[in-house]
Amino acid sequence: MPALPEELVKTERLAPIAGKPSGELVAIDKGVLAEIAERLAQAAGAIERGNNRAGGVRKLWTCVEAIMRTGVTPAGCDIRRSRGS
Amino acid sequence: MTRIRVIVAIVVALAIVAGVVMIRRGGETAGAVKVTATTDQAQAKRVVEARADERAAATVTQSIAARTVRIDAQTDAYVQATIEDLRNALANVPPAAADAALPAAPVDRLRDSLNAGIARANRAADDAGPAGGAGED
Repeated sequence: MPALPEELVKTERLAPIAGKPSGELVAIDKGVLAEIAERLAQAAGAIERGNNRAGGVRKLWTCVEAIMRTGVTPAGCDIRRSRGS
Repeated sequence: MTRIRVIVAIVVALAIVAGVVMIRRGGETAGAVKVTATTDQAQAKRVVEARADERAAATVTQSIAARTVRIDAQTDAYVQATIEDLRNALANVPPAAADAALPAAPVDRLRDSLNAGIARANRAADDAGPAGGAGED
């Protein structure tokens, strides 16, 4: 197995919202505010899923490499249903 | 007399040479068969090992894919819960009274709710890093 290219399993991060007020007020419709906030929540979820997939690819690559090299499945590679929470 | 002796000697010598050649041939063939058999056995063993490795890799691939699907579902459920929370936070804001100042938006609660999701996403990045392997949750 060749080495796993790191750029294929790069993870993404979001800076947390600081929420620092500027003191300038604008009026905004509740529906619009709700939609913007929901999209942001969904975007964070998409990043979380993407990161978990990157982790899955990394794990898969490491495990298959070990199997091909040693013929033995390393501990933690064969995750059965019981591990899910 | 001497001629007969010479002829006999030559015949004997030829017979010996022929014998040596035959024995050598036979040995070579037998040896080659043995070597081929050994190589074939080693080859067959390697093929069997490779097949077993392939099966183990397929099993691991499936289990990792299945786990990723489960984690995806957990993330989706969390996002849905966050959206509910955001909606509730906004729904709790009373409507603006006529000619009164606009009520404040629940920015702190919105921020905290969204930040919890962002923290989850960043934790997933930590778990997926070179040291962490895939996440455990």
